[in-house]
Amino acid sequence: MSFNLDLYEHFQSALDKQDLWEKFQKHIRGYGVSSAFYGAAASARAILEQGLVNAGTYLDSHPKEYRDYFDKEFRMEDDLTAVHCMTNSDPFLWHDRKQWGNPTHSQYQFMMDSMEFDMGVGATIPLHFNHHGIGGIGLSTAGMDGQEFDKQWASYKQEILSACYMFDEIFRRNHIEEVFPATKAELEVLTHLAYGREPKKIAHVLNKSHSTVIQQLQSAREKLNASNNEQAIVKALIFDLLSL
Amino acid sequence: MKDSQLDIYTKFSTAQTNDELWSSLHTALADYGVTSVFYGFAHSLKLAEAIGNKAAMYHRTSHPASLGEYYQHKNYHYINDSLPVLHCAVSTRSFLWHKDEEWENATYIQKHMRQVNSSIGLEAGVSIPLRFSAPHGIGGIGIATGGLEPFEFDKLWNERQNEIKNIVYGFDMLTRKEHLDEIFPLTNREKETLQWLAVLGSPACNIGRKMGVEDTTVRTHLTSACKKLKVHRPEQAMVKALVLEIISL
Repeated sequence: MSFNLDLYEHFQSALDKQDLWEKFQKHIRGYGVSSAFYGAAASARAILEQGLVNAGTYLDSHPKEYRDYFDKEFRMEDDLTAVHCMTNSDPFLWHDRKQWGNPTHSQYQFMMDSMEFDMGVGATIPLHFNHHGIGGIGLSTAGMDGQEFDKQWASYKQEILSACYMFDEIFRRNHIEEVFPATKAELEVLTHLAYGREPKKIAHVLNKSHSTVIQQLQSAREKLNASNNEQAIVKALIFDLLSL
Repeated sequence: MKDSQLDIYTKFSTAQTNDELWSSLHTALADYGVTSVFYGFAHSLKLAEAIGNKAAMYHRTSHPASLGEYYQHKNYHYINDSLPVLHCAVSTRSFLWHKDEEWENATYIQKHMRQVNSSIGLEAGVSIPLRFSAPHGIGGIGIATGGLEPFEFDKLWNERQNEIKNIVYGFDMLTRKEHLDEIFPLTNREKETLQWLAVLGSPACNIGRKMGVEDTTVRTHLTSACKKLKVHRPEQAMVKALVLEIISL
């Protein structure tokens, strides 16, 4: 129990998201994890429509040549682990063929090619937040074979899972403003838009000029990496940047 | 024999309609001397503050009709006009109406409202704050025990408040999980349109292309969804539907 509390405080003390990411990785390296991927987005549909980069945020320490190869050759739907995160909440063990179900040709190829990069053994932990939000953490244990991993997993599953959930919580709670650095004023304008007010009315209510409101909306969209107001509202809502 | 808490919950969850659930709530609470109920929730506190309770909130009440008329007539509808309502918005602690110490810092209007309530038999009772879809959704249930003296209700509350709260929380949860479609009767097509509005955003042709319909159809669905959700613009309809979990992304 005290172990978890210590880890919580350790994660809490991170100076910025990069520091938290490093603390997290250093911790799970203790369980044989060699590299990790973290992604979180407003919704599964948003990921499928806009891609993870536009729908949310990610951190990645998997080998670059692996990432480059897969980004070029495959789509999101081809990644069984990503598909799993969108529909499940239990962990997905990469090398457990029973969990592959009936993969499509591309999904099968993805898993087989991953092995070539020594990325065939590991686990993906689905994340769900605020009803609509979705994400996942992929943990690779390069250098381990499936049996070694299973042994490790059987002994430390709870510890690994709680570290992942804790990382995700603290990342979204403490560091989401680094990812989406919208100012208070920009978020305020967005909130009024969420109340169903037109920019002209918002300008009046907030005692600003119409052009200021328009300009703040534009910069809110940019900082939230959204292509229109609705996407900006949804993203800010699900990542808890707005208080209605 | 009196129903156990589990029996009450089972009865609640088998209610076919919102009306049936509402009447089961009254039956369950009658054991505690409750004579009438006010239930309300909103997807946004600040919106309720800005445009008033009635406009922002879904509500239903069995309090004496004369009270409703009074509110309508006098235009008393802002959140801070009623101290128990204001309390539900800012606190999660239950508010006992008849405790004088709760009213020490009340405004003139709030004290006046208390007198009006007392004069029609709403003297002893409690307001219980409700929360959902943290951190956005807020609400509350006010229950009046018309036939009880304040000290009698006080005694009851001290002994059995957990039972009352369980009943109230169960009712609130089931109303929002099972009967929201009756309160906001959106068609599947309207929900789908809001869903795509949240994912793709404007303009309408984005959504139309995705759903294989004309822009005008998209706009018709959005207008109708706004009407049913009692809001003016699609952005607000989308946010309300998200927070109330009417749509899922």
